Formats: sequence, structure tokens, C-alpha cells
Amino acid sequence: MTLDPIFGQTISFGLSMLFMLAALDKLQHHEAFVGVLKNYALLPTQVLRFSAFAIALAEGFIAFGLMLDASRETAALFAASVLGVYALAMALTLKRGLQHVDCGCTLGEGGGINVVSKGLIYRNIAMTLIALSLIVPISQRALTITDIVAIAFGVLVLGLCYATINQLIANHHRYQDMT
Amino acid sequence: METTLIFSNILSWIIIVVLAVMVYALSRQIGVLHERIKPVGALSLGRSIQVGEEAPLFQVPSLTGGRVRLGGQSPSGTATLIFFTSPTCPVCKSLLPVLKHIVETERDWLRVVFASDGVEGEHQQFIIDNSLQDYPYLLSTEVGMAYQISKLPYGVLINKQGSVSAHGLVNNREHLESLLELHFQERNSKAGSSVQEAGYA
Repeated sequence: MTLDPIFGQTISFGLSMLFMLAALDKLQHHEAFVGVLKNYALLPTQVLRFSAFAIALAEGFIAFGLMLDASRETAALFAASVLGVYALAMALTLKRGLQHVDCGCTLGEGGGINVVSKGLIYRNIAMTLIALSLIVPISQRALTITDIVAIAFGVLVLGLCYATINQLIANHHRYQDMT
Repeated sequence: METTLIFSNILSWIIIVVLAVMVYALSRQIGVLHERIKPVGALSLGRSIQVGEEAPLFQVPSLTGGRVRLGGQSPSGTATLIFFTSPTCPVCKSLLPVLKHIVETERDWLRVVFASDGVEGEHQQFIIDNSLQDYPYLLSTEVGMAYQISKLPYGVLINKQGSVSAHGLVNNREHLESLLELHFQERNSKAGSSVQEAGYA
């Protein structure tokens, strides 16, 4: 079984962009990310700085890995594990009754709109499954101009959908806070 | 035929992108609207305290040294703002500079007391990280229970006579200022009524 390049490339480019932006955001706002990790209270304080750096670096490598044919499947496995671990970390945080922990999804300007919530856990589970779909090899048919257009627009639309989902989860949480 | 398909495909994609942008913009606007229609003043949640009631009396040790007295006639003649906070609450952290500034400018009549509960170590670190060493910081579940604090950050303002003059959820600077305004309104209305009484006499 193989995946048509339109699906395969759209997913891998989309995920790659996501991981790349996340890695840059974490490297650029290192202090803020250390603070977020601290709030999750899952790691010992001595390793927070190192972990913040390591996570950002790992996300960067995954982003590159997803773009290359040779490393796509391995990178997809790592991407799925990272997304799964984030979902688990959020679930543990909620289970301990911490209600207002910043999820760390966006760190710089405009960050902090999303706090850890069930919606984000479901989002991450869905993302994990999407990443896992890349384990299926992509068929090697030659790409036509229509394919390239579809992949480019597909990545753009998926990116917008992702931003909208995040915004809707944040809205839902705010609305609950108000009532 | 193929050209038609290619162009209709591109057109469809453009329409989908425009629609996706519009949906995102709408969701953003809903988010902004939620921000705006949050109660303009601090939202009162606590059911156990009412404005005008005597504040319960507490003598609690402060993590920054000494003991904190809450409630009762203030010996220094200042009002007390109890700010319920937590190291894990991002909104609380974002309000700390504003709070410090307000206390700095209003220090002749106002003091702030930070209140929270949980593991002492985390709070000590929170105090150091946010330079709160100069403020009383108490760790007490009883105080939180007395005011039935269910959401953070929450502010309770006790006037110098020891009664609650305003309380509510404080999510931003406006909420914080509205708490202080409520205090002034209460003070002015009291002053107004005593003048009136004097006039009738």
C-alpha cells in the first residue's frame, strides 16, 4: 500500500512547517518556554533549561527529516511520538487539577491564548494519527503542475485550519471561564 | 479540456483559501469579542463574602517573613488588597507588574497581600522569580476557603475598618482598577451620607 504524493507530500510539508515554526518559536523565546515547562511540573528543575533546548532541537530535526524522502518515515514516527508525549503531558497536568497552565503552543507576541485543555489533547491525538499516516510509503509517480498546485494550496489550507482549530479551542475555554 | 481542469482546479483552491482565511478571521473575532464582553468590572464569584461584610480575621505567617493580619481595624490605617495567585497561573503572572505599580502609586492608603496555597518550595521560587520579597505572601488554604476562591487571579479589597469593600476575578488592569474604584465609590457614598445626615441634623 502506498500513499498518493498529493496526500503524502501535503501532510509531510504541513507537519514539517508546523515543527519548524514550533522549533523556531521555542528557540527564540527560550526563557518563556522554560517557564512553560516549569508550570507543567513534570520535569526536575535542574534539567528544565536543557530539556527546553533539546525539545526545540528535536522539533527542528523532525521538521528537516519530514522534508527528505530518505528520512520521512523515521521522522514521522518521531513526530507522532513527540505529539503523543505532549498530549500525555497535558492529560497528566489536567489530571492533577491544574486548570490554568499555559500550553506553550505559542510563546512570543500573542502567546498564551491557549491553556491546557481537553480540546488540545484531542487535537494532539488527531495530529499524532496524521503523523502516523506517513509511515505508509509515498508512491513515486512523477508530479505534474496540478499536483504541485494542490500540495501548495493544501499545505496553506491545512495551516489555516490548524490556526482556526487552536483559536476555537481558546475561544471555548474563554467562554467557559466567563460563564 | 485539460487546461479547463487545471484552471478550474486553481480557482477552486483560491476559493478554499479565501474561505479558510474568512473562517479563521471569524474565529479570531469571536475570541476578541469574548475578551471585550468579559465583565467590565471585576467579576464577583465568591458567594460567601458580600461587600460591606466584616472580613474574617486571620493571623497567618508570611513566606517573606513576619506575620500577616487580615481583617479587623487596620493599625496602619491602610486598606488591604488580598491578591489570590498561583505560580501556575499565567494571567496572575502577567498582572504582577501592574499590581506592583498600583501599590507603588497608592501606597499611602493601600497595601497588597499575596495569597495562595500549595507546596511552599514552588511559592518561594515564584517569590524570587517575580521579586515579591517586599510583599507579604501567605500560604493558607483557610483564607482561600473563607473567601471561596474558585478562580484565579482573584482580588479582595478590605477597607481600613476591616470590612470587604470590593472583590472579584481580576483578569486585567481594568478589572484591578475597577476594584479600587468600587472602594472609592463606597468611601464617597459613606462620606456623602454622613454629610446628608449632618445636614438633616
